[in-house]
Amino acid sequence: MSSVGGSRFALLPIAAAIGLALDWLLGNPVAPAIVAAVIAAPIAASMAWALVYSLGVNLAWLTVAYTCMSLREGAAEIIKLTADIAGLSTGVAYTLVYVIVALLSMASGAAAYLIKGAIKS
Amino acid sequence: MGARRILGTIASLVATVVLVGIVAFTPLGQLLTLMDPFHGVGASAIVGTVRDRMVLESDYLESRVEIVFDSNYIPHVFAENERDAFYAVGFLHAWFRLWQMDMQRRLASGRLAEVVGEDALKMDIYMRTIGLRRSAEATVEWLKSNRPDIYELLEAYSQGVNDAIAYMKKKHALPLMFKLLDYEPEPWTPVDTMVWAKYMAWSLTNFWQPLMLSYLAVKLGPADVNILWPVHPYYSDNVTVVPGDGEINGKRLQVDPYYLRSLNWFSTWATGLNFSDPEFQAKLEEAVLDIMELVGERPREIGSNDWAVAPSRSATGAAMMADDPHLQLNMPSLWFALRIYVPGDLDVFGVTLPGIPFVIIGYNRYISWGLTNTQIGVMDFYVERVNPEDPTQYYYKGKWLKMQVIDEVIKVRGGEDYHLKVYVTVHGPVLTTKGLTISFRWTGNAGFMNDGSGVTREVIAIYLVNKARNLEEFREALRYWDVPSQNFMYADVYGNIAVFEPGLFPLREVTLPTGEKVLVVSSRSVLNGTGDYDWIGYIPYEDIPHAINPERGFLAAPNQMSVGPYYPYFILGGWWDTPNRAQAIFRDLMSKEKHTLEDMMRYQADIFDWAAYSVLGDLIGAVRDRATGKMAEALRILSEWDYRMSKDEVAPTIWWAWFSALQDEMYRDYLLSHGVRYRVYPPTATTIYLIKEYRDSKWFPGGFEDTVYRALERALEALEEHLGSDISEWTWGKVHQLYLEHLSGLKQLSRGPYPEDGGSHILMNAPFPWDLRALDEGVKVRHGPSWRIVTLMDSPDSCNAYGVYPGGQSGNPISEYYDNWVGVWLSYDYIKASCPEDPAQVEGALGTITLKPAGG
Repeated sequence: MSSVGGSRFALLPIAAAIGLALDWLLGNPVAPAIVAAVIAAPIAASMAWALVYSLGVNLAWLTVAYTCMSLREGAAEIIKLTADIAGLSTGVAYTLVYVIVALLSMASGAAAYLIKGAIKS
Repeated sequence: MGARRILGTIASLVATVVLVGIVAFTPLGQLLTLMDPFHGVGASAIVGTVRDRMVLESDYLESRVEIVFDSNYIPHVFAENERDAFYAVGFLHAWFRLWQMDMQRRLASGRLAEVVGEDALKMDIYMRTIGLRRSAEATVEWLKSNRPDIYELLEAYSQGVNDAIAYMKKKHALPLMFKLLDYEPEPWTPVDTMVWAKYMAWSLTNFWQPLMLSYLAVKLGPADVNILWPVHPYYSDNVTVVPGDGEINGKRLQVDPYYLRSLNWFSTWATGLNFSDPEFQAKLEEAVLDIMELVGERPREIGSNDWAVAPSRSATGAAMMADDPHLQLNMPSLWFALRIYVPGDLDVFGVTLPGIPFVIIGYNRYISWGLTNTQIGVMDFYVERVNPEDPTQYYYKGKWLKMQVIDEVIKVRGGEDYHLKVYVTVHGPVLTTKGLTISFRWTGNAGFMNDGSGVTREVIAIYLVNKARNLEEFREALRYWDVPSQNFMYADVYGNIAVFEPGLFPLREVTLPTGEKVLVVSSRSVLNGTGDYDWIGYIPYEDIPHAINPERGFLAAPNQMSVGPYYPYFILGGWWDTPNRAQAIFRDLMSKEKHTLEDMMRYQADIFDWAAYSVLGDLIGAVRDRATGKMAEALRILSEWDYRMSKDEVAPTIWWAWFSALQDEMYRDYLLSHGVRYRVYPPTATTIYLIKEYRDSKWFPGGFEDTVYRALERALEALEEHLGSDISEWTWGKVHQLYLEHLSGLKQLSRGPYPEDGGSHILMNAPFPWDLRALDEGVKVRHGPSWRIVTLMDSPDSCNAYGVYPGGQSGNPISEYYDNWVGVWLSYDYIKASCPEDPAQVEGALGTITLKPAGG
């Protein structure tokens, strides 16, 4: 641990930065929580669990958020129109978003796991 | 902690950073931002729509404002005072059309490149050079000091816009286009309102006739220019806006107008320049080409219609008015319809321009009014004599003066700032220094005091027009109308009809070759800038062209010549439309003794082609004996045609192609052989004149019959190539189609193409180039009646006003009110105004916005 700063608190800003970056990109209030949770939660003791945990939480969050949004009048329609302008079908646009979020989630999960390890040691 | 773990941590962090970087700096990131379920485009669905009731508070309001949307989605603003009412108009405009407003002010201010990048830089350079923003700023400063009452209303409007922006931001609901272009609007100010007013004035008056005619005079010679582009268009004198020979207030032109028309206005006595000097000719050509490169090509043959019918010619005995300004048709529309009701002060229905609080064309129970362009020249070009030792000095009235230098910095998205120096002489901004140094003076920049301040007062005028309740108040209001000069058509409940042409008409005193002096309006060529050819003032308001309750019982002003030849100020500069629409509406209005409201609507939809009616018989007669096969079939179809440009008929297609090819045959080689680099064909009225009166001229190479025959051959070949060999399939609607392009150019947000009736110079004006290349290029109609209104002024209580524009009230493309009026407009239907005096009386209300004072 001493080789990376000597204090677990020194790593918290990095974790927060990753979380906030995700938050900024996704408008996702859950992202910082994932990082914090992975660092803190016993269930995320292994790398695999950290990945699954962060991926699962983020995708679940995204699904709930989109479901809620689509209940708003016109929201689904304007998403469809935007996807069309981008030259994509709505399905492809959603898929791309999920893929990107999945990759980011996994990266942040991995980072959080390793940060946790660094903190422990 | 082992080295492996440290490396893992670093690798993982790097991977995350790389991913975040990809997302942040690539289109994928933009997709994520747009698809963000909380702040992305989904949140923008609410803007530009009103369901049930929205309630908002504002510190700015003095009292509660109710905005109720009627069954046609026209908002009725119920306010207790005008300040609150115009605050509400600002809120409405922003709520429905914010991105359009932002683009418009950026366009007019030369700030488009800031959000769309390099592609808009040329337009920004053009706008910064013209300096509309500078004039707008001067006007607002003047209003602040001289008309604080009007300034306060502009401020109230701005506050309404800004509160709407704040509300949208709070809801993450800025309109879609802001999110697609990834920027946010700046606060709105009264200068933004004025700059859009200036732009509208500019777009209606920036005709470069003196420049282009000078170029043509150099290339073709003044004699040919006088025949092809006569001072006043052929066939105009019997259909002028103001009936009579031009005498006004007992004043008449003291010089023979026909002599004046015949003069060479490119002579040294008229311009102070030597057009016959080869060196000057070469320099002028270089300068004109440079300026045309800056300003681009203007759309032609657009025009507008308005007319009024007196009680003596009205079936109900009440005056009627009709107006349809022909402008660029886009999505969203240039216009936004509304009604404002302030008990005792204001009760007006009509269309506003988002960005400007007042009703521009409308109805207020007592009066109704409409606008068309006068087409009278209000812009002159001056060749400055520049000091060879110091090119920033110019010679003026015996002295060397220093040009004013304005540094403009244009921000370019994704690129370097562009630094522009604008040089300004006593006449106005310099447009070019290539070949010649040419500056220009435009009434919008010269200002009402002709001092170059740029102060103009049309916002005062239109505000007072909104409130006027009789002819005298209307007339007094128009005293303040400076730019653009317009034909204001008028009808009231007292049985009056009238037309006034307010505006700043620049006067110059010219000494004729005979030694006589004459006051002329504007010019026909570039002028010497050393001081002797300057404007000496404007036509006094009392003498502007106008007519009240003419004996014949109607008035019409579809962009034709304003006045008869003896008008005391000789109108030298102008770009009047070919008077076909004037001939057509005169024909309609004289076709029967009494007219109904339905007739007025029918005339707005009139697709009779006066040009075809005038010359088609001559053309058919020239080739009938030689026609066989397809040509004979085409002639048979044309012979049976009623000259109506219907989208469902074949004859209009053949006529259009034939007349287009004929103009090519007449002018193309002639212009090319003289080195003219533009396809600047003379007005249609000239071609009609040559066909009727000048068949032995050089413009029919090989003789009249041969020219006409070759043209028909070419036309039929072109149509066959593009529409197939079956002539019955050549319907006009396959060629002539309307496209309502979104301001962004995005096809997903545009509407059309729609097969469309009408054509160039038709009352149902749908301008289409007289150019067979339109077939190759798939050219679409992009201009036309941008708003139709007809009114029957029978009683203040009847609210007999009907209108429609192509588009819809909402700028939000997913709203059902984005395009719901397109079909109504295409089928020549109208929406009736309603004038309830209480919010609860609005029939079929679709929603309400309540704006209330904070804590109220």
